[in-house]
Amino acid sequence: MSDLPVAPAPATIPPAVEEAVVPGTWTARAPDLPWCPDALRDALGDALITAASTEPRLIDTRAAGWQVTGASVRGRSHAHRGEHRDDALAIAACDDLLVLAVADGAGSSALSRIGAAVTAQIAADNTITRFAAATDGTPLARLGTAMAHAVHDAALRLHALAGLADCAPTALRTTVIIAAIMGDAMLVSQVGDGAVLVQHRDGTVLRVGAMRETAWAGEVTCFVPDACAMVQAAALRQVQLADVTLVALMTDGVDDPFHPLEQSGAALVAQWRDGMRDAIGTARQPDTPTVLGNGDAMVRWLAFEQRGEVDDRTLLLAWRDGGAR
Amino acid sequence: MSLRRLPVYILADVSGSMRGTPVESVKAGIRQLHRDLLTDPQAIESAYLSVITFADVAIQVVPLTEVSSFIPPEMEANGQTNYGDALRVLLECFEMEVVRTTAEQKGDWRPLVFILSDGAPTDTGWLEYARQLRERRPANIIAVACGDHADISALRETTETVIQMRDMSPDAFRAFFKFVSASVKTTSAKVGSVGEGGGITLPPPPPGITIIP
Repeated sequence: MSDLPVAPAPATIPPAVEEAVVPGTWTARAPDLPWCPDALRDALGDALITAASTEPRLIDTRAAGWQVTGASVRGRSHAHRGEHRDDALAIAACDDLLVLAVADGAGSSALSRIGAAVTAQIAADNTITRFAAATDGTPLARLGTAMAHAVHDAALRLHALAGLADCAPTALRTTVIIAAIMGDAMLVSQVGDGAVLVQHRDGTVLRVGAMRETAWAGEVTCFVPDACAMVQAAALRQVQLADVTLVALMTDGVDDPFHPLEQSGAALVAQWRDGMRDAIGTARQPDTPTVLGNGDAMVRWLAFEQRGEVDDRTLLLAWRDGGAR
Repeated sequence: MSLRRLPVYILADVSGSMRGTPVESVKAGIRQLHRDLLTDPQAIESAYLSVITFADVAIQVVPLTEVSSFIPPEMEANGQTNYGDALRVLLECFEMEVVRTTAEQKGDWRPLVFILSDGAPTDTGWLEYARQLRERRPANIIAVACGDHADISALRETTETVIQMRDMSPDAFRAFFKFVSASVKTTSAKVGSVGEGGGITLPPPPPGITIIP
Protein backbone atom coordinates (compact mmCIF):
# COMPACT_ATOMS: atom_id res chain seq x y z
CA MET A 1 0.00 0.00 0.00
CA SER A 2 1.57 3.23 -1.08
CA ASP A 3 1.22 6.51 0.65
CA LEU A 4 -1.32 8.79 -0.90
CA PRO A 5 0.03 12.12 -2.07
CA VAL A 6 -0.72 14.90 0.37
CA ALA A 7 -1.53 18.33 -0.93
CA PRO A 8 0.66 20.96 0.65
CA ALA A 9 -1.13 23.22 3.09
CA PRO A 10 -1.57 26.74 1.79
CA ALA A 11 0.74 29.22 3.46
CA THR A 12 -2.02 31.71 3.87
CA ILE A 13 -5.77 31.76 3.67
CA PRO A 14 -6.80 34.58 1.44
CA PRO A 15 -9.18 36.75 3.39
CA ALA A 16 -12.69 36.56 2.08
CA VAL A 17 -14.05 39.71 0.57
CA GLU A 18 -15.62 41.17 3.66
CA GLU A 19 -18.53 43.50 3.48
CA ALA A 20 -18.86 46.22 6.02
CA VAL A 21 -20.67 45.06 9.13
CA VAL A 22 -23.80 46.90 10.13
CA PRO A 23 -23.51 47.23 13.91
CA GLY A 24 -26.29 45.48 15.77
CA THR A 25 -28.94 47.65 17.37
CA TRP A 26 -31.39 46.95 20.15
CA THR A 27 -34.80 45.64 19.24
CA ALA A 28 -37.85 44.67 21.30
CA ARG A 29 -39.65 41.43 20.55
CA ALA A 30 -42.61 39.82 22.18
CA PRO A 31 -41.56 36.72 24.13
CA ASP A 32 -41.17 33.66 21.96
CA LEU A 33 -42.51 31.25 24.58
CA PRO A 34 -45.59 31.45 26.82
CA TRP A 35 -44.83 32.77 30.29
CA CYS A 36 -46.05 29.60 31.95
CA PRO A 37 -45.24 26.09 30.74
CA ASP A 38 -48.29 23.89 30.42
CA ALA A 39 -47.01 21.60 33.15
CA LEU A 40 -47.27 24.40 35.72
CA ARG A 41 -50.44 26.11 34.58
CA ASP A 42 -52.80 24.38 37.03
CA ALA A 43 -50.39 24.65 39.92
CA LEU A 44 -49.84 28.38 39.50
CA GLY A 45 -53.37 29.47 38.69
CA ASP A 46 -54.62 32.12 36.34
CA ALA A 47 -54.42 35.03 38.76
CA LEU A 48 -50.69 34.74 39.37
CA ILE A 49 -49.92 33.95 35.75
CA THR A 50 -51.87 36.95 34.49
CA ALA A 51 -50.42 39.35 37.02
CA ALA A 52 -46.85 38.16 36.70
CA SER A 53 -46.78 38.04 32.92
CA THR A 54 -48.32 41.47 32.38
CA GLU A 55 -45.76 43.89 31.00
CA PRO A 56 -44.98 46.15 32.74
CA ARG A 57 -46.12 44.95 36.14
CA LEU A 58 -47.49 47.86 38.16
CA ILE A 59 -48.60 48.32 41.75
CA ASP A 60 -50.24 51.51 42.98
CA THR A 61 -52.11 51.28 46.24
CA ARG A 62 -52.39 52.39 49.84
CA ALA A 63 -52.03 49.99 52.75
CA ALA A 64 -51.25 50.04 56.46
CA GLY A 65 -50.86 53.80 56.44
CA TRP A 66 -48.35 53.82 53.60
CA GLN A 67 -48.74 54.60 49.93
CA VAL A 68 -47.08 52.15 47.61
CA THR A 69 -46.00 52.48 44.00
CA GLY A 70 -44.04 49.81 42.21
CA ALA A 71 -43.10 48.80 38.70
CA SER A 72 -41.21 45.94 37.13
CA VAL A 73 -40.04 46.25 33.53
CA ARG A 74 -38.30 44.00 31.05
CA GLY A 75 -34.69 44.90 30.39
CA ARG A 76 -33.17 45.60 26.99
CA SER A 77 -31.48 42.21 26.85
CA HIS A 78 -34.66 40.21 27.40
CA ALA A 79 -36.61 42.44 25.02
CA HIS A 80 -33.98 42.04 22.30
CA ARG A 81 -33.89 38.27 22.67
CA GLY A 82 -37.65 37.83 22.88
CA GLU A 83 -37.54 36.62 26.47
CA HIS A 84 -39.73 37.32 29.47
CA ARG A 85 -38.89 39.60 32.35
CA ASP A 86 -37.29 37.64 35.19
CA ASP A 87 -38.00 40.23 37.88
CA ALA A 88 -41.11 40.25 40.06
CA LEU A 89 -42.70 42.27 42.84
CA ALA A 90 -45.54 41.76 45.28
CA ILE A 91 -47.13 43.37 48.30
CA ALA A 92 -49.48 42.15 50.99
CA ALA A 93 -51.06 43.97 53.92
CA CYS A 94 -53.22 43.28 56.90
CA ASP A 95 -54.18 45.87 59.52
CA ASP A 96 -50.97 47.74 60.35
CA LEU A 97 -48.63 45.22 58.72
CA LEU A 98 -47.32 45.93 55.22
CA VAL A 99 -45.04 43.48 53.42
CA LEU A 100 -43.11 44.44 50.29
CA ALA A 101 -41.16 41.98 48.15
CA VAL A 102 -39.02 42.15 45.03
CA ALA A 103 -37.32 39.22 43.33
CA ASP A 104 -34.90 38.76 40.47
CA GLY A 105 -34.81 35.40 38.72
CA ALA A 106 -31.38 34.08 37.84
CA GLY A 107 -30.77 34.70 34.15
CA SER A 108 -29.02 31.39 33.72
CA SER A 109 -32.02 29.47 35.09
CA ALA A 110 -34.63 28.54 32.51
CA LEU A 111 -37.74 29.06 34.67
CA SER A 112 -36.43 31.78 36.94
CA ARG A 113 -39.26 34.13 35.95
CA ILE A 114 -41.61 31.67 37.62
CA GLY A 115 -39.32 31.28 40.60
CA ALA A 116 -39.22 35.05 41.06
CA ALA A 117 -42.98 35.57 40.70
CA VAL A 118 -43.86 32.70 43.03
CA THR A 119 -41.25 33.62 45.60
CA ALA A 120 -42.22 37.29 45.74
CA GLN A 121 -45.90 36.43 46.13
CA ILE A 122 -45.38 33.72 48.75
CA ALA A 123 -42.90 35.87 50.64
CA ALA A 124 -45.46 38.64 50.91
CA ASP A 125 -48.58 36.55 51.50
CA ASN A 126 -47.11 34.00 53.88
CA THR A 127 -45.39 36.60 56.02
CA ILE A 128 -48.86 37.96 56.72
CA THR A 129 -50.54 34.60 57.34
CA ARG A 130 -47.71 33.14 59.39
CA PHE A 131 -47.49 36.28 61.51
CA ALA A 132 -51.22 36.17 62.12
CA ALA A 133 -51.00 32.55 63.20
CA ALA A 134 -47.98 32.94 65.49
CA THR A 135 -48.50 33.40 69.21
CA ASP A 136 -45.11 33.09 70.89
CA GLY A 137 -42.67 35.93 71.42
CA THR A 138 -42.76 39.64 70.87
CA PRO A 139 -44.52 40.98 67.80
CA LEU A 140 -41.18 41.72 66.11
CA ALA A 141 -39.83 38.27 66.92
CA ARG A 142 -42.99 36.72 65.49
CA LEU A 143 -42.69 38.87 62.42
CA GLY A 144 -39.06 37.93 61.84
CA THR A 145 -39.86 34.26 62.22
CA ALA A 146 -42.78 34.62 59.83
CA MET A 147 -40.52 36.22 57.21
CA ALA A 148 -37.90 33.49 57.44
CA HIS A 149 -40.56 30.82 57.29
CA ALA A 150 -42.16 32.50 54.30
CA VAL A 151 -38.89 32.16 52.41
CA HIS A 152 -38.79 28.53 53.43
CA ASP A 153 -42.36 28.14 52.14
CA ALA A 154 -41.30 29.67 48.84
CA ALA A 155 -38.33 27.33 48.57
CA LEU A 156 -40.54 24.30 49.19
CA ARG A 157 -42.97 25.56 46.58
CA LEU A 158 -40.19 25.94 44.03
CA HIS A 159 -39.02 22.39 44.72
CA ALA A 160 -42.57 21.16 44.16
CA LEU A 161 -42.91 23.13 40.94
CA ALA A 162 -39.59 21.76 39.73
CA GLY A 163 -41.00 18.29 40.24
CA LEU A 164 -44.06 19.13 38.17
CA ALA A 165 -41.95 20.69 35.44
CA ASP A 166 -39.50 17.79 35.52
CA CYS A 167 -36.54 20.05 36.02
CA ALA A 168 -33.99 20.72 38.74
CA PRO A 169 -35.01 23.20 41.46
CA THR A 170 -32.08 25.36 40.36
CA ALA A 171 -34.04 26.07 37.16
CA LEU A 172 -36.27 28.33 39.27
CA ARG A 173 -33.54 30.21 41.15
CA THR A 174 -34.28 33.72 42.28
CA THR A 175 -33.16 36.40 44.68
CA VAL A 176 -35.68 37.95 47.03
CA ILE A 177 -35.86 40.98 49.31
CA ILE A 178 -38.69 41.24 51.83
CA ALA A 179 -39.41 44.35 53.88
CA ALA A 180 -42.07 44.02 56.55
CA ILE A 181 -43.30 47.29 58.02
CA MET A 182 -45.18 47.21 61.30
CA GLY A 183 -45.76 50.39 63.25
CA ASP A 184 -42.45 52.17 63.60
CA ALA A 185 -40.30 49.17 62.84
CA MET A 186 -39.22 47.49 59.65
CA LEU A 187 -37.54 44.12 59.26
CA VAL A 188 -35.64 43.30 56.10
CA SER A 189 -34.80 39.83 54.89
CA GLN A 190 -32.63 39.40 51.81
CA VAL A 191 -31.40 36.48 49.75
CA GLY A 192 -29.02 37.49 46.98
CA ASP A 193 -28.47 40.96 45.59
CA GLY A 194 -30.59 44.08 45.19
CA ALA A 195 -30.92 46.88 47.72
CA VAL A 196 -33.11 48.67 50.24
CA LEU A 197 -32.93 52.41 50.85
CA VAL A 198 -34.67 54.52 53.49
CA GLN A 199 -35.10 58.26 53.54
CA HIS A 200 -35.33 60.02 56.89
CA ARG A 201 -37.38 63.10 57.64
CA ASP A 202 -34.22 65.23 57.65
CA GLY A 203 -33.54 64.17 54.06
CA THR A 204 -30.73 61.72 54.70
CA VAL A 205 -30.86 58.55 52.66
CA LEU A 206 -29.29 55.35 53.94
CA ARG A 207 -28.83 51.90 52.53
CA VAL A 208 -30.12 49.13 54.77
CA GLY A 209 -27.25 46.71 55.23
CA ALA A 210 -24.07 46.57 53.25
CA MET A 211 -23.80 45.47 49.66
CA ARG A 212 -23.09 41.76 49.40
CA GLU A 213 -19.74 42.13 47.73
CA THR A 214 -18.23 39.71 45.30
CA ALA A 215 -15.14 40.38 43.24
CA TRP A 216 -16.99 40.22 39.96
CA ALA A 217 -20.19 41.89 38.83
CA GLY A 218 -23.36 39.89 38.89
CA GLU A 219 -22.12 36.91 40.82
CA VAL A 220 -24.82 36.22 43.35
CA THR A 221 -23.76 34.03 46.24
CA CYS A 222 -27.10 32.47 47.09
CA PHE A 223 -30.56 32.02 45.61
CA VAL A 224 -33.93 30.69 46.67
CA PRO A 225 -34.45 27.66 46.70
CA ASP A 226 -30.83 26.77 47.57
CA ALA A 227 -30.25 25.54 51.12
CA CYS A 228 -28.15 28.63 51.90
CA ALA A 229 -31.23 30.80 51.29
CA MET A 230 -32.71 29.84 54.67
CA VAL A 231 -29.59 31.10 56.45
CA GLN A 232 -29.51 34.37 54.52
CA ALA A 233 -33.25 34.92 54.94
CA ALA A 234 -32.99 34.53 58.69
CA ALA A 235 -30.30 37.22 58.96
CA LEU A 236 -32.82 40.00 59.52
CA ARG A 237 -32.05 43.67 59.69
CA GLN A 238 -34.20 45.95 61.81
CA VAL A 239 -34.80 49.62 60.98
CA GLN A 240 -36.58 52.14 63.17
CA LEU A 241 -39.12 53.95 61.02
CA ALA A 242 -40.22 56.70 63.39
CA ASP A 243 -38.61 59.37 61.22
CA VAL A 244 -38.47 57.43 57.97
CA THR A 245 -40.65 58.81 55.21
CA LEU A 246 -39.78 56.57 52.28
CA VAL A 247 -38.66 52.99 51.82
CA ALA A 248 -37.33 51.72 48.50
CA LEU A 249 -36.75 48.13 47.45
CA MET A 250 -34.97 47.49 44.17
CA THR A 251 -33.46 44.67 42.18
CA ASP A 252 -29.91 44.91 40.89
CA GLY A 253 -31.15 46.28 37.58
CA VAL A 254 -31.76 49.55 39.44
CA ASP A 255 -29.05 49.21 42.08
CA ASP A 256 -26.10 48.37 39.84
CA PRO A 257 -26.27 51.30 37.40
CA PHE A 258 -26.16 53.72 40.33
CA HIS A 259 -23.58 51.92 42.42
CA PRO A 260 -22.57 52.86 45.06
CA LEU A 261 -25.98 53.73 46.47
CA GLU A 262 -24.29 55.24 49.49
CA GLN A 263 -23.35 58.10 47.14
CA SER A 264 -26.22 58.17 44.68
CA GLY A 265 -29.11 57.28 47.01
CA ALA A 266 -30.07 60.85 47.93
CA ALA A 267 -30.14 61.92 44.28
CA LEU A 268 -32.25 58.91 43.36
CA VAL A 269 -34.82 59.61 46.04
CA ALA A 270 -34.93 63.26 44.98
CA GLN A 271 -35.73 62.17 41.42
CA TRP A 272 -38.46 59.83 42.60
CA ARG A 273 -40.02 62.50 44.76
CA ASP A 274 -39.61 65.60 42.64
CA GLY A 275 -39.14 64.33 39.10
CA MET A 276 -36.07 64.19 36.94
CA ARG A 277 -33.95 67.34 36.97
CA ASP A 278 -30.31 66.38 36.65
CA ALA A 279 -29.13 63.02 35.39
CA ILE A 280 -27.02 60.98 37.77
CA GLY A 281 -23.53 60.11 36.57
CA THR A 282 -23.42 58.94 32.97
CA ALA A 283 -27.00 57.67 32.85
CA ARG A 284 -29.28 59.05 30.15
CA GLN A 285 -32.49 59.63 32.00
CA PRO A 286 -35.81 60.66 30.44
CA ASP A 287 -37.73 63.57 31.85
CA THR A 288 -40.25 62.28 34.35
CA PRO A 289 -42.54 63.82 36.93
CA THR A 290 -42.64 62.42 40.44
CA VAL A 291 -43.08 58.68 40.43
CA LEU A 292 -44.87 58.64 43.78
CA GLY A 293 -48.42 57.56 43.07
CA ASN A 294 -47.71 57.45 39.35
CA GLY A 295 -46.85 54.01 38.07
CA ASP A 296 -46.60 55.16 34.48
CA ALA A 297 -44.03 57.76 35.49
CA MET A 298 -42.11 55.08 37.33
CA VAL A 299 -42.04 52.93 34.21
CA ARG A 300 -40.71 55.92 32.31
CA TRP A 301 -38.09 56.59 34.98
CA LEU A 302 -37.01 52.94 34.79
CA ALA A 303 -36.29 53.40 31.08
CA PHE A 304 -33.03 55.23 31.79
CA GLU A 305 -30.13 54.17 29.63
CA GLN A 306 -26.66 53.35 30.76
CA ARG A 307 -24.14 51.51 28.64
CA GLY A 308 -23.93 47.83 29.50
CA GLU A 309 -26.89 48.00 31.91
CA VAL A 310 -29.51 45.86 30.23
CA ASP A 311 -31.08 43.94 33.08
CA ASP A 312 -34.74 43.89 34.11
CA ARG A 313 -35.56 46.67 36.56
CA THR A 314 -37.89 46.60 39.52
CA LEU A 315 -38.54 49.40 41.98
CA LEU A 316 -41.03 49.32 44.86
CA LEU A 317 -41.55 52.46 46.93
CA ALA A 318 -43.54 52.91 50.13
CA TRP A 319 -43.88 56.42 51.50
CA ARG A 320 -46.00 58.44 53.81
CA ASP A 321 -47.09 62.01 53.76
CA GLY A 322 -44.99 64.72 55.34
CA GLY A 323 -41.78 63.31 53.90
CA ALA A 324 -38.58 65.18 53.25
CA ARG A 325 -38.31 67.01 49.96
CA MET B 1 -21.12 54.14 38.21
CA SER B 2 -18.35 52.86 35.96
CA LEU B 3 -18.95 50.74 32.88
CA ARG B 4 -19.03 47.05 33.59
CA ARG B 5 -17.25 45.08 30.91
CA LEU B 6 -17.04 41.45 29.93
CA PRO B 7 -13.28 41.03 29.31
CA VAL B 8 -12.53 38.34 26.73
CA TYR B 9 -8.94 37.16 26.29
CA ILE B 10 -7.78 34.95 23.44
CA LEU B 11 -4.44 33.27 24.03
CA ALA B 12 -3.17 31.94 20.72
CA ASP B 13 -0.24 29.58 20.37
CA VAL B 14 1.87 30.91 17.47
CA SER B 15 4.81 28.54 17.85
CA GLY B 16 6.41 26.98 14.78
CA SER B 17 4.00 24.07 14.68
CA MET B 18 1.15 26.49 14.02
CA ARG B 19 2.84 27.82 10.87
CA GLY B 20 0.78 27.86 7.70
CA THR B 21 -2.87 26.96 7.69
CA PRO B 22 -3.38 26.81 11.48
CA VAL B 23 -2.18 30.33 12.26
CA GLU B 24 -3.94 31.72 9.22
CA SER B 25 -7.11 30.00 10.39
CA VAL B 26 -6.76 31.55 13.82
CA LYS B 27 -6.38 34.99 12.24
CA ALA B 28 -9.42 34.42 10.07
CA GLY B 29 -11.32 33.13 13.07
CA ILE B 30 -10.58 36.24 15.12
CA ARG B 31 -11.71 38.41 12.21
CA GLN B 32 -14.91 36.40 12.01
CA LEU B 33 -15.41 36.60 15.78
CA HIS B 34 -15.05 40.36 15.65
CA ARG B 35 -17.54 40.73 12.81
CA ASP B 36 -20.00 38.47 14.53
CA LEU B 37 -19.85 40.35 17.83
CA LEU B 38 -20.36 43.62 15.99
CA THR B 39 -23.85 42.45 15.07
CA ASP B 40 -24.85 41.96 18.71
CA PRO B 41 -25.77 45.15 20.60
CA GLN B 42 -25.12 43.57 23.96
CA ALA B 43 -21.64 42.47 22.92
CA ILE B 44 -20.98 45.94 21.51
CA GLU B 45 -21.84 47.45 24.88
CA SER B 46 -20.23 44.92 27.15
CA ALA B 47 -17.59 42.73 25.51
CA TYR B 48 -13.96 43.82 25.39
CA LEU B 49 -11.45 41.76 23.44
CA SER B 50 -7.75 41.16 23.91
CA VAL B 51 -5.36 38.87 22.03
CA ILE B 52 -2.20 37.42 23.56
CA THR B 53 0.10 35.38 21.36
CA PHE B 54 2.77 33.05 22.67
CA ALA B 55 5.77 31.36 21.10
CA ASP B 56 9.31 32.00 22.43
CA VAL B 57 7.71 34.75 24.50
CA ALA B 58 4.17 35.92 25.09
CA ILE B 59 2.97 39.30 23.84
CA GLN B 60 -0.33 41.02 24.34
CA VAL B 61 -0.78 42.06 20.72
CA VAL B 62 -4.16 43.70 21.34
CA PRO B 63 -4.90 45.25 24.74
CA LEU B 64 -8.39 44.93 26.14
CA THR B 65 -10.44 46.86 23.59
CA GLU B 66 -14.14 47.40 23.07
CA VAL B 67 -15.61 45.48 20.18
CA SER B 68 -16.32 48.52 18.05
CA SER B 69 -12.67 49.64 18.21
CA PHE B 70 -11.03 46.23 17.97
CA ILE B 71 -8.63 45.64 15.08
CA PRO B 72 -7.86 41.97 14.42
CA PRO B 73 -4.11 41.45 14.70
CA GLU B 74 -1.56 40.06 12.29
CA MET B 75 0.28 36.96 13.54
CA GLU B 76 3.24 34.90 12.41
CA ALA B 77 4.07 31.49 13.72
CA ASN B 78 7.57 30.42 14.69
CA GLY B 79 9.60 29.43 17.72
CA GLN B 80 8.91 27.42 20.84
CA THR B 81 5.85 27.13 23.06
CA ASN B 82 6.50 29.29 26.10
CA TYR B 83 3.20 28.48 27.79
CA GLY B 84 4.34 29.78 31.15
CA ASP B 85 5.01 33.21 29.71
CA ALA B 86 1.51 33.21 28.21
CA LEU B 87 -0.05 32.51 31.58
CA ARG B 88 2.21 35.09 33.25
CA VAL B 89 1.14 37.76 30.77
CA LEU B 90 -2.49 36.76 31.25
CA LEU B 91 -2.19 37.17 35.01
CA GLU B 92 -0.52 40.56 34.52
CA CYS B 93 -3.31 41.65 32.20
CA PHE B 94 -5.87 40.70 34.83
CA GLU B 95 -4.06 42.86 37.35
CA MET B 96 -3.71 45.85 35.03
CA GLU B 97 -6.85 45.76 32.93
CA VAL B 98 -9.66 44.08 34.81
CA VAL B 99 -11.65 45.96 37.45
CA ARG B 100 -12.93 44.19 40.53
CA THR B 101 -15.89 45.31 42.59
CA THR B 102 -15.18 47.60 45.51
CA ALA B 103 -17.33 49.72 47.76
CA GLU B 104 -16.69 52.57 45.34
CA GLN B 105 -17.19 50.95 41.97
CA LYS B 106 -18.87 48.01 40.38
CA GLY B 107 -16.35 45.63 38.89
CA ASP B 108 -16.24 43.93 35.52
CA TRP B 109 -17.88 40.62 34.84
CA ARG B 110 -15.56 37.68 35.46
CA PRO B 111 -13.30 37.48 32.39
CA LEU B 112 -13.70 34.82 29.74
CA VAL B 113 -10.45 33.28 28.42
CA PHE B 114 -9.87 30.98 25.47
CA ILE B 115 -6.46 29.30 25.24
CA LEU B 116 -5.56 27.63 21.94
CA SER B 117 -2.50 25.40 21.78
CA ASP B 118 -1.38 22.60 19.49
CA GLY B 119 1.69 21.47 21.37
CA ALA B 120 3.34 21.01 24.74
CA PRO B 121 5.00 23.66 26.87
CA THR B 122 8.71 24.01 26.12
CA ASP B 123 9.40 26.10 29.21
CA THR B 124 9.71 24.82 32.77
CA GLY B 125 7.91 27.48 34.77
CA TRP B 126 4.39 27.13 33.41
CA LEU B 127 3.08 24.91 36.20
CA GLU B 128 3.40 27.63 38.84
CA TYR B 129 1.32 30.08 36.77
CA ALA B 130 -1.20 27.37 35.95
CA ARG B 131 -1.53 26.65 39.65
CA GLN B 132 -2.17 30.34 40.36
CA LEU B 133 -4.92 30.42 37.76
CA ARG B 134 -6.62 27.31 39.10
CA GLU B 135 -6.43 28.45 42.71
CA ARG B 136 -7.43 32.07 42.23
CA ARG B 137 -10.07 31.44 39.55
CA PRO B 138 -9.76 34.95 38.18
CA ALA B 139 -11.60 33.98 35.01
CA ASN B 140 -13.69 31.38 33.27
CA ILE B 141 -11.01 29.68 31.19
CA ILE B 142 -11.65 27.38 28.26
CA ALA B 143 -8.56 25.62 26.97
CA VAL B 144 -8.58 24.20 23.47
CA ALA B 145 -6.32 21.31 22.55
CA CYS B 146 -5.75 21.73 18.81
CA GLY B 147 -4.75 18.70 16.75
CA ASP B 148 -3.33 15.44 18.05
CA HIS B 149 -0.19 16.72 19.71
CA ALA B 150 -1.55 19.22 22.19
CA ASP B 151 -0.55 18.58 25.79
CA ILE B 152 -3.95 18.03 27.35
CA SER B 153 -2.51 17.47 30.80
CA ALA B 154 -0.87 20.91 30.76
CA LEU B 155 -4.16 22.49 29.77
CA ARG B 156 -5.88 20.49 32.49
CA GLU B 157 -3.49 21.95 35.05
CA THR B 158 -4.73 25.38 33.98
CA THR B 159 -8.49 24.89 33.90
CA GLU B 160 -11.17 22.28 34.38
CA THR B 161 -12.71 23.14 31.03
CA VAL B 162 -10.67 21.59 28.24
CA ILE B 163 -12.06 20.94 24.80
CA GLN B 164 -10.40 19.12 21.95
CA MET B 165 -10.39 20.11 18.29
CA ARG B 166 -8.52 17.36 16.46
CA ASP B 167 -9.21 18.77 13.03
CA MET B 168 -7.12 21.88 12.37
CA SER B 169 -8.64 22.76 9.03
CA PRO B 170 -9.93 26.26 8.30
CA ASP B 171 -13.49 24.96 8.59
CA ALA B 172 -12.80 23.55 12.04
CA PHE B 173 -11.31 26.84 13.24
CA ARG B 174 -14.24 28.69 11.71
CA ALA B 175 -16.64 26.50 13.67
CA PHE B 176 -14.59 26.98 16.81
CA PHE B 177 -14.66 30.76 16.60
CA LYS B 178 -18.41 30.63 16.07
CA PHE B 179 -18.51 28.74 19.35
CA VAL B 180 -16.37 31.48 20.93
CA SER B 181 -18.76 34.11 19.61
CA ALA B 182 -21.78 32.24 20.93
CA SER B 183 -20.04 31.82 24.29
CA VAL B 184 -19.35 35.55 24.53
CA LYS B 185 -22.94 36.39 23.60
CA THR B 186 -24.36 33.86 26.03
CA THR B 187 -22.08 34.99 28.82
CA SER B 188 -22.80 38.68 28.28
CA ALA B 189 -26.53 37.91 28.35
CA LYS B 190 -26.48 35.71 31.42
CA VAL B 191 -23.73 37.16 33.53
CA GLY B 192 -26.23 38.93 35.70
CA SER B 193 -26.91 35.83 37.61
CA VAL B 194 -24.15 33.29 37.66
CA GLY B 195 -23.45 31.58 40.93
CA GLU B 196 -20.54 32.19 43.23
CA GLY B 197 -17.38 30.88 41.64
CA GLY B 198 -18.47 32.22 38.31
CA GLY B 199 -19.46 28.99 36.66
CA ILE B 200 -21.02 29.71 33.32
CA THR B 201 -23.08 27.67 30.93
CA LEU B 202 -21.43 27.45 27.55
CA PRO B 203 -23.32 26.78 24.35
CA PRO B 204 -22.93 23.28 22.95
CA PRO B 205 -19.67 22.91 21.05
CA PRO B 206 -19.92 22.40 17.29
CA PRO B 207 -19.37 19.01 15.66
CA GLY B 208 -15.72 18.01 15.71
CA ILE B 209 -15.07 19.73 19.02
CA THR B 210 -15.44 17.61 22.11
CA ILE B 211 -15.38 18.48 25.78
CA ILE B 212 -12.76 16.39 27.53
CA PRO B 213 -14.33 15.03 30.72
